[in-house]
Amino acid sequence: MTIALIVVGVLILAISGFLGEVVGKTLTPVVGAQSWFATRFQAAIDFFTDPRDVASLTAKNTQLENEVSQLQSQIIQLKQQLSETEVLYSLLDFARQRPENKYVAASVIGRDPSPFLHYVIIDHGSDDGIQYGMPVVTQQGLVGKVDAVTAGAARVQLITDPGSAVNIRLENAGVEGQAVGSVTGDITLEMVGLSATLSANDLVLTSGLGGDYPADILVGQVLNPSHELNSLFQTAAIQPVVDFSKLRAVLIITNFTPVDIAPLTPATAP
Amino acid sequence: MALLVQVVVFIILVILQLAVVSAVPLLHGMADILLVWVAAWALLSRGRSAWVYALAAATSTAFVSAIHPIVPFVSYFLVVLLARFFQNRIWQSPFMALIIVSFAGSLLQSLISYIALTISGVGLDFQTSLVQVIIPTLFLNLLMALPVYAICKDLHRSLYPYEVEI
Repeated sequence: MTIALIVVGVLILAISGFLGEVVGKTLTPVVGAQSWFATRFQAAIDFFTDPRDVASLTAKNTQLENEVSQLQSQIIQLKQQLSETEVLYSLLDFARQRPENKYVAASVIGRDPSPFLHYVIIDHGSDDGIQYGMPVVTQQGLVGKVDAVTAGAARVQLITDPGSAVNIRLENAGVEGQAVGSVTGDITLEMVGLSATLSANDLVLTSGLGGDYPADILVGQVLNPSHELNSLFQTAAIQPVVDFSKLRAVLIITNFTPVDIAPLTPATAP
Repeated sequence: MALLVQVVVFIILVILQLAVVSAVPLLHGMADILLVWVAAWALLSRGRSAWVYALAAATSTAFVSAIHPIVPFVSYFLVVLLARFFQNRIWQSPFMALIIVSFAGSLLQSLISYIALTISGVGLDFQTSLVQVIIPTLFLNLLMALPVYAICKDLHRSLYPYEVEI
């Protein structure tokens, strides 16, 4: 009987459209209670399980930090490889632009321990066809010449060395002179006659005179031409095109044989 | 064993000098780690090993460098001589002795290099050389003296333990 009354009541509520409202009002406190209970239960669960989560998160964080460090070191390595590749590509481009020359590429592996001298040591020697006196260049321009050779390495005298003198010509002025190194690594233009018109930014190229270097290799640009009173020659600083402090790879021109003009030089009178 | 360790250390020093120390100039001066090491070893040891070190350092430098071979031989042997001179006079403060020997040895080496290059026809302006090369080199060598002395002392102590009186 009771069940029949409940069913009839529900049907009446459903037909009259009040069932949803009644059910909603009836269930709201239940849902609230459920929500309250669930929140407290979850809090209790969290209270007991959080320490383990922190530990696992810390471990995960450490692992991720390690991965980030590894990836960063990989990025650095790749950047380094990329810059080395760029250097090699630019050297290759330079070699392709001058097909008449044969080149051997070498890495700079050391510098002369004497602070007075400007020499570098490269990782290729006579086993690779390198001989004394061969010119050394980069994609930018002239570096120097081979000064000593062993089987697996060679020493290169830079044009900034105080003992270096390169016969050069100025592209615009059309005059010849010498580019002389110094202990500070600065290059000075010397032996230029007073009649020549030196101008800043004039390109300095090898002249080929003397047989030490091939002609027309870029050396640098003229800076600050000067003429001292009563001097026989004009001088100027030369800004080299090669950054000698960052020299990492060079090309040795192996098919150029330097000419030894010493026997042709007249002996000095006693 | 001690000889083997010293040979390995010496090779490492030469590589360091050529690849690292020579590439870190101050103005245009650069430290000579071999010179400071020879000085420190000569002050710490009393046997012939310092002379052997000087000979090895001079030979390797003469082989690698474009400077006249007489320069490293004279300068490194002078350093050992100086060290032996000061070893008995400033025995209570070996680090002070190392500073003096490094300073005097570096100065002598620079002057010998300057003279050798001038004789061989390389035109060097003395004032520029002094300001740009010699003084920075002296400073760098003195700066290197402290770490080199510490490492050299540890190595010497591990290779040649002091006798303990009971």
